[in-house]
Amino acid sequence: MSAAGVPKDLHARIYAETEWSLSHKLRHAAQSVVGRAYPRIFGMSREPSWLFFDLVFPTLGMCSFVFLLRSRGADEAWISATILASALLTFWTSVIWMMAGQFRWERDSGNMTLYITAPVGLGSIALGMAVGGAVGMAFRAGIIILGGSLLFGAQYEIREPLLLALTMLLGIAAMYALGVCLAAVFLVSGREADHLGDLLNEPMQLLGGLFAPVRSLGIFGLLAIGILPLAPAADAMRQLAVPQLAASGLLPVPVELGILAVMFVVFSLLSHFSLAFIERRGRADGKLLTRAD
Amino acid sequence: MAISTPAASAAAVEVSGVGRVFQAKGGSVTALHNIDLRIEPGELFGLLGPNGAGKSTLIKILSTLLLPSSGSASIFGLDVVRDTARVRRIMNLVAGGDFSGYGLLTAREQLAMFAQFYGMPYAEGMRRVDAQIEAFGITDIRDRKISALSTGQRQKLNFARSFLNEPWMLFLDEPTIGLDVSAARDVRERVRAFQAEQPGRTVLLTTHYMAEADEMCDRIAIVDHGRILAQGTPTELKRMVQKETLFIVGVDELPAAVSLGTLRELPGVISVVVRDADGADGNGVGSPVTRLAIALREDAALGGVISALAAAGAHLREISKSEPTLEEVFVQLVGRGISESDSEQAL
Repeated sequence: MSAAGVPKDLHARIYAETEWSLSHKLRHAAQSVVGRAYPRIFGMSREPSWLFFDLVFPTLGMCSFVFLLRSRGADEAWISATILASALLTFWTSVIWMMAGQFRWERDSGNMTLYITAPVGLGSIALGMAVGGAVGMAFRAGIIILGGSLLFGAQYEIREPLLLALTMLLGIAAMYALGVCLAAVFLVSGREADHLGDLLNEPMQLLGGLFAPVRSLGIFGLLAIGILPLAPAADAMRQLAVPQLAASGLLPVPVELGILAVMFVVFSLLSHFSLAFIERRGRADGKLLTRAD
Repeated sequence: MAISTPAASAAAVEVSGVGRVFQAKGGSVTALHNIDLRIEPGELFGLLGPNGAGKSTLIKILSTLLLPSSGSASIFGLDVVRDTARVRRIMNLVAGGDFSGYGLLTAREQLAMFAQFYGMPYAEGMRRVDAQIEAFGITDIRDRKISALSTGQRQKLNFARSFLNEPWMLFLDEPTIGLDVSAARDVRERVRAFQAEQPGRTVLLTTHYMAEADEMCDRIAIVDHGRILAQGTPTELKRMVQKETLFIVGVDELPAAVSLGTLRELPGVISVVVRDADGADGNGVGSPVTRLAIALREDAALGGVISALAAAGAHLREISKSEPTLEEVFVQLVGRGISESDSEQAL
């Protein structure tokens, strides 16, 4: 049976539509990244309560550390370092909450089904999530630094602004690349991974050297710097923005930058393979990527 | 790996010996047994069956969400396992009860986001977004957040999304589930219009609404326990349970010049009985009408009956063809009603 009016060249036309040039593929990938980043950048700012939680709670956490430091008579330089660390923490929190658990949310909401059946790669979706998250958090981090500095009179002495910017950029990139890997791991592991993420939240902040230098952690500090992007990023930023604390750094800034670059590459590769793995496994087992009916 | 242009004779959907086994805690569960199916370009094909029959599993395989355990399947000649990326460029999927998307986005933003994912240039994508919003009559909600939309509005938006890439192959998995009568009718009309706009667009619909399948589908396959029990046009399927054709013919009154016995002796006539004698509207109101139930070997035999009645002076008041429903077909093939099947599934 054949429906009336079907053109004779139908198959040739359809086949031509499936032929995408390299430039088409690149444009499509870029558009997909922007498309997925959009809800994170613009959508989230429409929920006042989120803004409140994202700004007020980190600021309260920062204040508690600042008051603690002041009560102990710590050098004012540590106040500046704490404010920087709080800004970095907003990115890390976003990696844990908005990256790692995201794929499972996408699956349970039915979005993952639409992503898989669309001609868009999971890599573009993940990159869009990361870019959107990083841009959205940059705004919050900026407010935390500005507000904290004004509130506590913190001062910075930035001699190498480009190096500081590069450190921040590489640190954020490495963290979000790790976030994509975690998204795949959390998807496969289920809720247990969520609980583990919650349990590890505080230890991660300690190992990341956010509020105390990783140098003081000895061998664990070295270990942290080798696996956790937060640690070299926080350590290098502290050295670059608050020179009085340079002596507290575990490794020289260029070395830590190198570590961050390697982490970014390694986590990006792991992300690529883990996304390919979850798609393959999801199509094979029929459960990983689709919402339970 | 480069692939060659599919043959012009390739079906829109070709399924050969597809089986699917799921691993479960208590052992393996076979969801599909060696399915064969061919759907021609331009068809609206329905898979009819109870929950758990295997309809959605087959759609998942065809829409590249799931790998088959055995056999092969292709969309317009493109293998769903090997040519996955190409298949995804010409298809789309709508699942019933789907509340996907991001609640903080507006309806238009959500469609714009998916337009980016479907690979069309930005300006063209936005043109299609606005065109679909217009076509589905949802201009009033275009700037409303997704989280504030009703089920019907969200499903219309879901359909609008699926039309954005103008797919050649559209999979509709229980698309009207949870919709009210009016919204369901709207989306069915849009699906038909969508197919009519471009001959060759093919739709595979799964449903357990008999009337929906009967109304929409060119052909239907009845599926149960992972097997296709029968397939054909709705009329062909109905013929499977009723070999003869049944007409109801209403006349003012049966003239004395013609008896039921006379009518029964006409060529092609199997039986004639007086079904009822009642008012014109069936409630005893209006001038009386006598209805004859006439079973024929084929439709063409009706002409002789009408001629005989007219020659005897009967005034013809009404004529209708009585067909078995798909529900009756389903019961005969499956051995139980579709709602009973769903109840069993729930247990």
